[in-house]
Amino acid sequence: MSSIFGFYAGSHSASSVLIVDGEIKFAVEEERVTRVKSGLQYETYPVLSHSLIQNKSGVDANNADFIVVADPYHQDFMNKLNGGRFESISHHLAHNCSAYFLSGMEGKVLSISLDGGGDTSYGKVYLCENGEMSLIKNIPISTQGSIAAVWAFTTNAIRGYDYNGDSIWKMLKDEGKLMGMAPDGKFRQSYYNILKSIVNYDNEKFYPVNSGGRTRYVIDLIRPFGEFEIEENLLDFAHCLQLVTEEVVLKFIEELHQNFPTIKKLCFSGGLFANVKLNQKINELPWVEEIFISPAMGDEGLAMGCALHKANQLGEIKKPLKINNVRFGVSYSDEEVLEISHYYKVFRYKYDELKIADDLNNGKIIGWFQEGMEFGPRALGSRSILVRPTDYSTHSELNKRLGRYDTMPFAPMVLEEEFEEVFTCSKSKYAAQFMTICYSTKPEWIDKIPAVIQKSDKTARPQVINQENNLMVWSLMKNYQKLSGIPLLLNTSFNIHNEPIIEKPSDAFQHLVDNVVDKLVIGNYVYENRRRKN
Amino acid sequence: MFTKIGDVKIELDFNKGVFMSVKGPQRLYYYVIQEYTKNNDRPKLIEGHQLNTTPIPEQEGFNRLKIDIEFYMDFEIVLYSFDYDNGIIPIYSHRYNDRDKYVQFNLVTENFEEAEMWEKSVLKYSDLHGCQPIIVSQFDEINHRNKNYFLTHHS
Repeated sequence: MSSIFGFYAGSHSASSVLIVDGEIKFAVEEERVTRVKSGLQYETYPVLSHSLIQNKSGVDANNADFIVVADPYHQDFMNKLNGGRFESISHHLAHNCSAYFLSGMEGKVLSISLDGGGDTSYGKVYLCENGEMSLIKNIPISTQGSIAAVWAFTTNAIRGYDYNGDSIWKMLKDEGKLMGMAPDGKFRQSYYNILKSIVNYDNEKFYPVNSGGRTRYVIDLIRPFGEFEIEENLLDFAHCLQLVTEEVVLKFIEELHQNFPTIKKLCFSGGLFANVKLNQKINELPWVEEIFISPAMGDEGLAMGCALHKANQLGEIKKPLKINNVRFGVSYSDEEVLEISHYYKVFRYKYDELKIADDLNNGKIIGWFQEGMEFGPRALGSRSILVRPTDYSTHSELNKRLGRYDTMPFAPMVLEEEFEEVFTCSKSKYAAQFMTICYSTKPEWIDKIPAVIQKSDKTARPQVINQENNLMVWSLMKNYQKLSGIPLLLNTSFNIHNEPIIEKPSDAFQHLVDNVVDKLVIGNYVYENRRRKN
Repeated sequence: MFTKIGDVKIELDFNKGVFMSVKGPQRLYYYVIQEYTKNNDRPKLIEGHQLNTTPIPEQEGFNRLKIDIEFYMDFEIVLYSFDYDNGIIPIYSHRYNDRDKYVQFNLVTENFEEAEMWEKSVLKYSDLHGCQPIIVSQFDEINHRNKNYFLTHHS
């Protein structure tokens, strides 16, 4: 039995993961500790995330049994760890391990990764069974194209640049804004043709090459003439980008299905699969039994993939794990939190779920800080802001408090026992525990929960809550349901716009004293702003 | 070499590296340079960038492609323009390779053994790329072992 550190130390999304004796102990993204979002700062090493894990676990890279890093990595940083004694695995093998070994899937599975480029590939496909993975397809950067690169370069260029030459929207950070706009746009033949000339799929190949360069060429050519300052154009372009994405990826997946017709379970990784609308389309394919998306599908998940790969090699993880949650961050005791609270003008009292459920029903905005921070881009009930889903005006109020200006919809948590009552498709509920798929809302629920539904296509990105994956939130939701008749809550990430999700209690207290949230639940206590009371 | 495709003027020169400049009605054009490897009809990307036809004085160089690499391999340069209704469309391509061409290799050494070592590399290269090598060295033995050119034109 052994201790394994997994790292990603590439150009962005650095992270650290510790697995001991086949059990995931800690997983921390560097941005949560540096407090600078990955898309806003490049060339970061997983220094602080490693230190955080080291302080809590007593295991550091210098005395771990194994260190594994994904390509590409900064040689200087890795050489300083453990005297430069480490192993590296390919970028897309790490991606696929982060999906397959957390998928809980038994039998034959196809694991697919697609992104904007990692070492020499845009993606890989593995045939997996009983904990073994065989490479069956590679998508080389030198000969093929990438739909994920189109998203990245569109995001980076479409809003233009500031006086310093920095893009207004950032790749690796703001792609979700475009995706959120897509349902509000409409089909436009010229935009569709433009995008198909940038990326397409046929005969087992994404083409043409250099999708990122082609995207930038087009956007830089037409944007300076004000093309995307017209809101309608921006929405239509986003709509066509989503459409082309779904077309080419579904064609790719259908082709895989023709080659492997008996395999009906798919798992996904790579930044492209942060696209929850695409995941919905895949999940709705009639022949698909179940899909799973790595909860940390972007490059932050590579550290997890590295550590899982090694644990599998050592025989400590023999088959895919079924995890209840991704609360792999550091947790804080009530005593630690109380001590930190003394630095803020706040007061506390014992948590009463009936009272908080009542507050939610009355429209209060609740900061929710429990156990270890989530690993991956989604707040899943550890570092969340909870609000009632019944009031559309919540959008403007939350946007005001969080400094958001986007049209992006907020997402709900839903009680598992009511999931099929509210949403139309019941497949892949395990994946939905990690908020990685959209579902269509049943017509009778659309007017009841307007704050958590995309206003044009009436879909939502629910997180399925049950007693096993989050007992405290499940119990709160049950009480809220008794008061309101609604088995859902709005759940958004606990951070103001452009900042990473919070990690420490002090970050949460700052949000409370800044009136971002009305109340803050940490551990077994509720904190309120003393100035607000007075 | 100058070419005109409609109202787009293209200047190409492969004598010292790869040079291309474009003048046309669009502000930006786009090019790729790609390499064909042996027995593979799918080219590999070497690079792809925009070309600015209205150069900004401080950014001189963006209006022309200049790569200080001498290409002896099988490569292709493709120029694209943009059409609002159809997207990116190729308007010109030029493929260059050594296949069946006479290529002269000058072995600059006074050491016979070193020259023989280079001769092996030349033959390996010519086998890979299908060119007819002409080897010029200080050693007649080596020169005459590789006398395709002379057989055709001087014998």
